Amino acid sequence: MDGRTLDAVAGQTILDVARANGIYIPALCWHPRLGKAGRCRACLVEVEGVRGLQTACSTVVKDGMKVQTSSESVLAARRMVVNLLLADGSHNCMSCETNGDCELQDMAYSLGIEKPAFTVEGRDVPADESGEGIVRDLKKCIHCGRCVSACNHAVMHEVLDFGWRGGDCKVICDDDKPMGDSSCVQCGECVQVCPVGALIFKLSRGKARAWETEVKRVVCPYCGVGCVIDMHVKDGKYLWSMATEKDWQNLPNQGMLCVKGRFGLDYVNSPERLTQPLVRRNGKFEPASWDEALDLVAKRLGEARDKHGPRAVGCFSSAKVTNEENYAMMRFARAVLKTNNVDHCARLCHASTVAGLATVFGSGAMTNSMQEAAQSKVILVTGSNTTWCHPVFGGMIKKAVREHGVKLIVVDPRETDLAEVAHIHLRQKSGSDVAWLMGMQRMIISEGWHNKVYIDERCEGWDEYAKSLDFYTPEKVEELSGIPKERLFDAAKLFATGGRAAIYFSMGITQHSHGVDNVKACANLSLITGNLGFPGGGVNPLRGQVNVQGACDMGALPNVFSGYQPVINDDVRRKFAEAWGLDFAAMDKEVGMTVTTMVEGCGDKIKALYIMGENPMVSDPNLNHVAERLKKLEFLAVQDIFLTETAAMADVVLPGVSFAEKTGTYTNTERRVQLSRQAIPAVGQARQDYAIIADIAARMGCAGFPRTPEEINQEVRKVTPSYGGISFDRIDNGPGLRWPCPNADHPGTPILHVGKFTRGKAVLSGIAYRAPAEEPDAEYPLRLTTGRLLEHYHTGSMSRRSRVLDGITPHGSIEISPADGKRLGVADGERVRVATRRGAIETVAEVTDRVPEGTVFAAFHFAEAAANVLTNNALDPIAKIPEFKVCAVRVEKVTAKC
Amino acid sequence: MMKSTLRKQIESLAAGYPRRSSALIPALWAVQAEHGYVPRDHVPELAELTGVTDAHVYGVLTYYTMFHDKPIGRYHLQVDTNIPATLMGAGAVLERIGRVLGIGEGETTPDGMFTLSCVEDLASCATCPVVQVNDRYYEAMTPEKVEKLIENLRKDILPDWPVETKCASECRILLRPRGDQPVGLAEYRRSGGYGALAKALSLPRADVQKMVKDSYLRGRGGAGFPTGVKWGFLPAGSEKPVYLICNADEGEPGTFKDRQIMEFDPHLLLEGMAISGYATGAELGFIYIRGEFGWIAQRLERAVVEARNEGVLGGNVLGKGVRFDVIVHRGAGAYVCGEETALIESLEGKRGNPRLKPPFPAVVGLYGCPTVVNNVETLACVPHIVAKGPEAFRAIGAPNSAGPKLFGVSGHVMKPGVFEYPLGVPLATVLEAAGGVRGVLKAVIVGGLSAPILTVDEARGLNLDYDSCVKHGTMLGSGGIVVVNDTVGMPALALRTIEFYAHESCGQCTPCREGSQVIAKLLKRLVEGRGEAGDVDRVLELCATIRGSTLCPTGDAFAMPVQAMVSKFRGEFDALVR
Repeated sequence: MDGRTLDAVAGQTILDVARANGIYIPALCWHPRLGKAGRCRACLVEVEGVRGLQTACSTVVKDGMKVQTSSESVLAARRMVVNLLLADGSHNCMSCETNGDCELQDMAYSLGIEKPAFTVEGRDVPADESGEGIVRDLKKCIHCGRCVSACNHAVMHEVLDFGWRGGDCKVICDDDKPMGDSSCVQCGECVQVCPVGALIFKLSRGKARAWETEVKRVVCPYCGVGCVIDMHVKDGKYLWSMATEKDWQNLPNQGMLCVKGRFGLDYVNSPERLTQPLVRRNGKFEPASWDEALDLVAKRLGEARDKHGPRAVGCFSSAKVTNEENYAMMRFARAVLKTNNVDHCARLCHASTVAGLATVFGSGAMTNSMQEAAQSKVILVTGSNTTWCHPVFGGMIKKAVREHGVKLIVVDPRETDLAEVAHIHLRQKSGSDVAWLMGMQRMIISEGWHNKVYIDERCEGWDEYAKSLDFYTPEKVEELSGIPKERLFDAAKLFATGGRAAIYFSMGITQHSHGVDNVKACANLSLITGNLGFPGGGVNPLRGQVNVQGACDMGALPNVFSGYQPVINDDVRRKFAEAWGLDFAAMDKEVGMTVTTMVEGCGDKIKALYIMGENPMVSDPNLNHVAERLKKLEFLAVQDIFLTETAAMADVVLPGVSFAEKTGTYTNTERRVQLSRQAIPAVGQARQDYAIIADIAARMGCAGFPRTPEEINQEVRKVTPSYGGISFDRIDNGPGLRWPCPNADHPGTPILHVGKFTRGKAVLSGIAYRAPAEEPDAEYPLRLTTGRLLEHYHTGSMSRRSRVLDGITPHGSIEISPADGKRLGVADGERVRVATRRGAIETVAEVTDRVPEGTVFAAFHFAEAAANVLTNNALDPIAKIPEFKVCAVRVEKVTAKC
Repeated sequence: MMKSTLRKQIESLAAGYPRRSSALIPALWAVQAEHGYVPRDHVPELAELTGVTDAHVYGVLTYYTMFHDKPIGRYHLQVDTNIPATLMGAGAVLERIGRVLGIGEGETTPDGMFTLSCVEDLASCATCPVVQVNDRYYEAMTPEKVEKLIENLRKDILPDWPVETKCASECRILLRPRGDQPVGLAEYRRSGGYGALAKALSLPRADVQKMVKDSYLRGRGGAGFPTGVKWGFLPAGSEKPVYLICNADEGEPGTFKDRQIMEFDPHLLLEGMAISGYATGAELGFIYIRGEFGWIAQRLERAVVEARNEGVLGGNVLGKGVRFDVIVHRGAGAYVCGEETALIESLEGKRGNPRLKPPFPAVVGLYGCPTVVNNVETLACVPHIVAKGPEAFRAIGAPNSAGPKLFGVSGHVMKPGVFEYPLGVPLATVLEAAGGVRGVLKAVIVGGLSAPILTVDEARGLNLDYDSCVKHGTMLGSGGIVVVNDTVGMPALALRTIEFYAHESCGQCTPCREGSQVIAKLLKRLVEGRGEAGDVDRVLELCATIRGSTLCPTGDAFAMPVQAMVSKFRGEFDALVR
């Protein structure tokens, strides 16, 4: 190339080789994640022996090929391309958002083109400002098509295309709707790939050019995909997000983001951030100094422990803080408060998974990886609205279906996005999952499709399991689940005979009073078809929060220390006592209470609580009851970044820092531990959560708590075998490591249970059918199910304080089927009153066929119309997880009289 | 909400294709037939029925000239104003319509009866001026006739005014004596039709392929690529089905030859396709016919049904256990769909955007499967090759240019028409057959508008074969001959030329999308007397750099002709600079 002999790998293009060797070839429509397009013609080069110029992005190199990248004819072609693009006079760099970060500008600069060689009348196209977060300035569009390609083949939202022809060509959203009125979900991928300033971020417009920002690499604080984000920061303020492109193939999000990671991080700048400690005096909050606040917390917690015993105090750790901070809280509870009453909100989401899979496999975590979706032949998604709750991963499943021939089975009462592209969509009655899962298994076994060799070699418990299947006849299952038996048979056949099959599940399986049974039933299905221990298979719970996996791994659970080492085991307790410099005898040797039982026990069993980064006043079931119970506490300390509904009830409020203000590790749903570095300075007087815990510990007599994330990580590695080799230096700026990773040389473990299960053989579970605790009746004739939306996150403490997220979805609603809407006389957009035995809320009706007749759906993000006022605090007996997914409800139109 | 009858119709269309998405353009035609246009609220259902996104549907709807997303007049008067038509008096016809109806281009009369549009070449070059009214052609129009036509239309009468195209044939292979109705199957058989197919089916497929290869048959669409060699690119032993596509898009201005075969001798094409399908292993063939040829598509469909009924097409061709069937698929107004990869994209239900090559259609074509795309005339030569043998075919024509060719002659000649001669016939002979030049010859295009224009001197001694054309500085192309006399100013001709390509550009690549527009704007300001110093050089420089730089040959298709017009008649352009 240009006289230099270069090495290349078979299959590389001329452009690949040039970029690998620092030779500049402009390429406006090619993109590393989108591949070639051949449209812009900027990358034309000369190839000896071939007539005419060739596009470097699409020409595969051959041994001995000779390429000229800056001969006269090449430069003439480049000048022609630039001059043609500049000719209509629309490219004015002065105030352009991408000045300094523009590939057209780069190309013009490389050719020394100051102004267009000729000008012709331009198009007068007004910018489309209708999107909440994205502005489309079509005057600057160079028709490279990257945005269309990204929307349709990367993130799979399929909103964009080109309309019209020739010079009238224009990128359109749906049928040329304004972006804000279209099906666009504002993921921002189009902005990220746009080579020029035609697509820009609205809220950061005018605030900084690319060279004025520092780029800080963080892990998104929202869901369990754990997207890696480059936060652009200027003068200590967060301005905008780009997905990290460096080494994108090895990152969990593959260079993509959803609307939350893209536009939802600005809550860190919210004026509502807690900036100083608050102490309640005479019923009102007053600002206090750190010393005062910490002294008070230490004193009151110590009093409660000493007066009522360690089992009367409890700690709520957080799925939103780092591993190091979860470990610190766990240590605080056990070493300082001497109690095993430490838990966190996994209790509300995947406690069934952890308990169920730990029993069945010996390990409760996702067995495979998100990137393997394309390697499956069949995917079963159940109880997961993946494109809303794990959006980037939902897109990967959609891509696997559209482009890799993967067959998709979705079992969900609602018509989710994935259900729309599924080959088979079964709509079961909420709460009937054991029936259809065991029913499928019975069908598979009676057809002889089960993997007998796998069952013999790797499973135990067959006899009891097989006997329990007798109950689940096709007719019984149809009666219980509502799924026609022929359709279930089709699904069973596809899953059992279609090739490598993976199961992905989430709250629809776990949040039931028989959640553990549901999880075991999923595991059974995978086991009898021999689908564990290789790529493309697996039983894959999708963990909802950025660090709920990590919080569990770090032992913020009442029954285990970090690494799932049981508290009832003397040797384990001894090990930790030694590590912490404690008296072994003083440690709590019984399994502690869960967040659900602690809330239930407030006032009698539980006298004091220290809550970090959790908001049970919106997240827990039966909120009226929760409020009642919390009020009975003698002392409540809440550590958070906002004055949440729970913090508002506290005696002391301690301001922690947001994810952007701390350095630490997070473990995503596929057991990947990633490092996020501090991006902005702490706000106001807010302090690092681990420092706050250490200070309280010191005031309570335990001075030895580590004072930096690195030190905590060192301690974690010493006492937690599965994290033994996961040190900061190994994961800094990289794709992280997947546990188990026992030592510094271990490369991490992508797939669990290869060859054998963690416990040796897996357990096939016989399961007796149990109906949900509360089903519709005459008084409450509809079935309520709850869940999440794309734009919001859990109790809304973060997402509702984001301008774009709240702008897109400013309030909640309840999904009602058209048939039910007609029967109730409720039209789309009208106000309704929704009541259960436990409470009532008023909200807006969304009449949609996304829900089946007889079922209504509400998201739980909206504190002012909190769905959890309605939900049932019936718990699974083993996991103590509430039945968020089923209860009986009544809906009425709100009239003037109400 | 779509009417349920329309919905059912579209479901049935979708079921008729290997992939549902291919039914999108037929579905849009069905919707437009029902409503006169495609209502916006039908977009989501169209998307659902064909398995694509809303944006995809709208992107297709707006891509093709013949679809409307807003209501138009009851009678859509589409006046061909491309170069052959303009040379032959389209201007006066357009002007008369405007005067009579009181509307301009793109406008609709207040009573909603008439919409007036200027359109590109309708492949009626010998019978210009031509006005397409909705789906019907009215050829050999004059200002008086068009006024009479409008009177009729006001009474909701679509008159029957048949016009014969002058035609003559030396070879009688592609053009046989004809009436105004197509030759039916029985008649076709009586004169030996489908005998070649029977012969081919008795031979191994490879032998038939070899016959075509040995005949030196070259593609008649314009590129002149040897057909047998193209077929040879099909991979052996592919698990994917092979498809045969007949390119009947005939959009090259000056060209109207394929129409003659399809309109009057459809079984000749079907026999050629059946033999070619057998030879290449294709069991399904498509005829992609330009949208404007609605009535010709119907004739083809009737011929296909006839053929199926007689066992000549279908699951058991001539009882020999071979499958071959044909789907007639109508385009919707896009010149670029004459390019084989753009045609394939269009047939897949998408915007007619050419693809990057490689991979070539023989390897990755329709639905990603091995595909052969051949022109109508090319396929129509195949029966003769099989019946009489490759040597007999090679004996016709010139070295390197075997076989008969249809030449369409239009513009400033006394008797425009279509003529069949062996390749290599002198241009002078063909012009004589067309009655000689009308007026004083100034220039001639011999291969369709994409072939560089020739001056009188350059045309002297030219033979119409591939090599002679190259020697004289042009290309044989499609063999569409357009004669220009000295009443024509070259700048206006060049402007109309580039406006055609700018209108037809698919819009994917920078040089064609932007370049065609910039050249058009530069030439326009020259023609309008606003030309700036350097504009002519700018045009030439753009033509020179656009050549060879575009994604598909369309860039060359306008850069070379414009470059030829400007440089060979430079004086006329310079005179317009201020």
